[in-house]
Amino acid sequence: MRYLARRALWTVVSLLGVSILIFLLVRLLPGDIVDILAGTEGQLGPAQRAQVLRQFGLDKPLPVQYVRWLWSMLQGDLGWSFRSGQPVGGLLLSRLPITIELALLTVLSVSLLAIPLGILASVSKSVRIKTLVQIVGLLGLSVPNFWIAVLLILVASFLFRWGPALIYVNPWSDPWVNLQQMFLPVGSLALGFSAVIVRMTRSSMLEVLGREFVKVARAKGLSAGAVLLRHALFNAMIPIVTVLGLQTGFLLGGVVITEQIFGLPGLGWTLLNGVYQRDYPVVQGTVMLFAGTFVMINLAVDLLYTYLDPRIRYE
Amino acid sequence: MPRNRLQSHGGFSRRAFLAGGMALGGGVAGLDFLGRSAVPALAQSAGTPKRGGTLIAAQEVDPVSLDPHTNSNYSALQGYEHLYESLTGYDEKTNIIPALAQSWEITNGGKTYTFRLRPNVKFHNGQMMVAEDVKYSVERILDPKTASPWRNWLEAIKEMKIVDPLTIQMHLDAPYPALLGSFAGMRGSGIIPKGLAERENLKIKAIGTGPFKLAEYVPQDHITYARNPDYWDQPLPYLDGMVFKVLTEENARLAALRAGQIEYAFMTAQGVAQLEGAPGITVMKSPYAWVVLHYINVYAKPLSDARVRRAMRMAVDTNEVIQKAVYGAAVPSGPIPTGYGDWPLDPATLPYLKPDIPGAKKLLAEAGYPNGFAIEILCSPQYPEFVATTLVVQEAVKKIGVDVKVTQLEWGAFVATNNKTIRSGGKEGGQILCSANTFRPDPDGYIYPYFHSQGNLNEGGYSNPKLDPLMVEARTVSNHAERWRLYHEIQRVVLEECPNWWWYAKFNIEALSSKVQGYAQSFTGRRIFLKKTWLA
Amino acid sequence: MSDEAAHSEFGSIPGPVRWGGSGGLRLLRGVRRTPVALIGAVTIGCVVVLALAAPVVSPYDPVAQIAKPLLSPGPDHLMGTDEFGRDELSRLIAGARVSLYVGVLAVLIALSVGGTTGVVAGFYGGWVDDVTMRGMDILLSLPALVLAIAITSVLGPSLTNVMLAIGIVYTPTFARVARGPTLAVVRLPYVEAARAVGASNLVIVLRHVVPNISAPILVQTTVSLSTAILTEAALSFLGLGTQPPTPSWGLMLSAARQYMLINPWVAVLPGCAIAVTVLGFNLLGDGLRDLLDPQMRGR
Repeated sequence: MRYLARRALWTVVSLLGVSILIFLLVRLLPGDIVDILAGTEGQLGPAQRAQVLRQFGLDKPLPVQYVRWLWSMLQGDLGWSFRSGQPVGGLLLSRLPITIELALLTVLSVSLLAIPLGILASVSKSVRIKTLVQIVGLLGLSVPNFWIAVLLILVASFLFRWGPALIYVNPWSDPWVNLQQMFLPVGSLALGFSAVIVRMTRSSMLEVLGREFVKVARAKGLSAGAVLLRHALFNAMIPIVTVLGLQTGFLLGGVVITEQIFGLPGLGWTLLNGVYQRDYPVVQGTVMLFAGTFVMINLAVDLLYTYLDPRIRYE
Repeated sequence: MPRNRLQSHGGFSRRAFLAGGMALGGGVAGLDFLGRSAVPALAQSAGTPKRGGTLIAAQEVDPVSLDPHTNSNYSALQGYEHLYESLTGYDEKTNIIPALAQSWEITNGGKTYTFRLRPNVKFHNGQMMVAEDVKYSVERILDPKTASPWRNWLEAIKEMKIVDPLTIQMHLDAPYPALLGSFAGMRGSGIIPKGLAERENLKIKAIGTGPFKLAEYVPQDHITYARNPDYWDQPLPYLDGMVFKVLTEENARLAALRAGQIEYAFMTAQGVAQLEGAPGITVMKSPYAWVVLHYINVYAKPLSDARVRRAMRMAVDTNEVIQKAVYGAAVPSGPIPTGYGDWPLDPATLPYLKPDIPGAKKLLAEAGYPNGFAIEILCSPQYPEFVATTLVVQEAVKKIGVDVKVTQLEWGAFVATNNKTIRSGGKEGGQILCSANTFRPDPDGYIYPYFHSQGNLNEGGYSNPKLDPLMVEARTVSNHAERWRLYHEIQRVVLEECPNWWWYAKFNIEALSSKVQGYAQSFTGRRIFLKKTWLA
Repeated sequence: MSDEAAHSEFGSIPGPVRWGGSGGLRLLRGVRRTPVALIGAVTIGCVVVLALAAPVVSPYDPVAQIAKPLLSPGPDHLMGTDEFGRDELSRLIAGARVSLYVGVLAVLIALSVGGTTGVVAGFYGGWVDDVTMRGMDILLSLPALVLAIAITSVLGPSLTNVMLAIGIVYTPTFARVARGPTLAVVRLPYVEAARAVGASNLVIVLRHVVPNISAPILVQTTVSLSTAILTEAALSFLGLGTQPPTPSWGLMLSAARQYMLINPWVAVLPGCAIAVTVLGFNLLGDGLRDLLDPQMRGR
């Protein structure tokens, strides 16, 4: 219990730290919303500049801006986008499902393909198969996924004369169209991600298969298949799940360029655009959302791990 | 009559318009296409217009906001231009034509404009457009609190008077022939209903008089337009609606065109070369108002010396720039884009068309830099053609000993540096920056802000006391022949002095499905004539 | 020396690696026997040699625009030319230099800063551990690419800043990798005994901690090298990485996007170069992990 309390406290501290970091980082970017509004061809005099800064509350001293933002955020209000004037909370909520769907579908498709491959690599006696699986699995990780994305688009259109509907349709209205829209982006992400899972599955399986209790089970006479399924796989899942959780951050990062190339209005694209447009509330809000999610997942995974594997002890 | 008078002000002569649609040859070799008097070819305009259908199109840059008064980015204009209109507009030859103002009179030595508004024009919400709305809109643009980046285009207007619900008078301090063009340009001149800005968030909502209404806007994703059944210019528009989906990746646009997903896309020359021979797709090309240039900060040495700037320009092969930056799809240009009526200099007579290395070396030595020097050029990867142009320059000036460091800045950082350079009079910021000038409703827009000592966009405080009075005269005098003479002289001088380096006027390349009929390109680069388009 | 491998949330921790004398040789022999590691090592070796020998091996100056643009591979230009008429082969070789340079230095930064942080956290435990690891968590909460974009935008675009940005982004990973084994080792009885006897902290770290973290750190280094190259490619793709005309594979890929169907060579070759190099690092990393994991020593 004490452990839980301490973890919770540190989680809050982490989040606070992230908020300060992103608040400062985004203001360190050269240029601000005024520059973006003026562009290279428009002319904004000093009085107009001051006016715009005042309008967005950017004329107040930094600590005041920070406290204001923090205070509203704690009350559930993430502010308004500088560029579109929309409430950030609403904006993020409308974009979140797309990124979640992208991530989930990637994880699912990867698991279906990569875990069996990883198991194969771990139990196979043939050195050749093991090496081959490793290389193929790692190949996906070695290619820049933005490159794959562009290649996929071109191949689909020029070889197959096919492209999905352009305006995003959510899976509830039309699952088939939605699946088509997700097919290529998930494909480009899955390649890289699957390599990580193949590797993880393989090493985790190997570790478990070498453990005492498995040898005992074999000695008892259980068939290899039964051993595999019931004992090894279950135990091997723990670190796999861990990695899946930790890789959320990686996935969210990989999603950014993918969303841009495929024109999917998800969180990654929103964040990138926010950075480019110096739209502070959007950047801050999105990062806090990512950070919150990441921290929660981390916490859950750590607790799950503590629960499942009593050998881990934390003071 | 007003029409003739205005044609002598800022309009284009039919004669000077360039052939489009078929000519592929750009570059210096493409100069022989100039002087053709053909009107740009319309896309298969055989057949009678048919109502109905939704055009699916690609938007290459996120519009960001639909407010017609507060945005300086071109993509915003592309977003709201179908929704709003102004007092005047443009026709296919970029002549100024009546739009919301049916006619006008210019009196009092060019200082008073009396606009008679078109009757029975409805806003998208059913409300009638009257003079009050015009006054409100112009006031909003001029209000410093709005912080409109285009305020300067209308700031000549000092007072407005409503004569009757359909007549409005505007009083200027000094004559400003560019005013009608400023309205037609639509950068910051859309007419909105009185009080709208206070009631609605204009960044995502729009109520205008345009041929299309705003049906849906999902920022960063797409804009859906629906036909305005009460549009004043019946029977337009023919389309039931349009959807513009944001696709920043050109390969994605290419793929969508190929697969028949979209019926319209703006393309680069490289992109369209990859469409070569694709069935069911028509490509339209014509030069437009997009001049790629380098702004030079003339505050400090060595760039403060005109000989240095000229020497560097002389070392570069303009044709090579055109080939490598835009794959040949452009024509050489001076400060006023080639093809802008009779304002620009004849491109065949432009200096620096061929590189002159020995001459450049001599000039540089004369200026005191026989061994060259080091300099930095800034550009942004947001526009690959700017980077490419800069790289060609970098390579070329190596031959005269100048060592160029190319720095790519993310767009926000680039814009910030540009503004810092201007604001500080050149003491801070960049040395040379690569960018482009888009359409200006009047040649003055390409000259005064950049080269007048008091110009707002003057990088580094360029000042030529002999030119200043010429520029002021050119922007106030109304006689076309006189303005022509002045602008030609000014252009000759700035080309000699090189406060900027001008490279080319690009081709506007638009790829359309063959189903799309009746579309015409506009020299402004805008998609004004989608309202006259129909789907076969 | 007990072979007892402690557990952490990262799977089993390999036992201590002895680097001196027979330990090092054993490792090399092990690499030779493991096909995966061998292939990886050979690939990397080739790339490194090419990169180092670049000035000698390149047929032309990689930034000189000397030929006709977009030529297909031919006798004059073995890999063709790019959109500016620069020799593609020379650029690929020069790109190896840039990619390796950025990758190695970025990972070195992450390794030294992150590794030290992790060791400190594990060694002192308690609130020091909490504070430093929360700090690392804060960095990890930001999507890696966006953080890199923000850092390069703030610092300005240059090769050095790209290295710094990638280094910062990878620091938390190394901290975590270093922390686990350190935590485990520090609790071992003989280490506690050493402390009780009065051995200095530095000696304890060098003699006990370092050998225990060497294996996972080594593996993580190869993994991070591979992803660093990919991250640099992504940054260059967005225009925030290497500055032109310096060739970097990512930059070449980004520029080639416009010409993919006009001349596929410019688009495919840099991608292959990246894939081969990154694959090499990954294979090496995997092989080393197999070798150094005590569970596998028997096989």
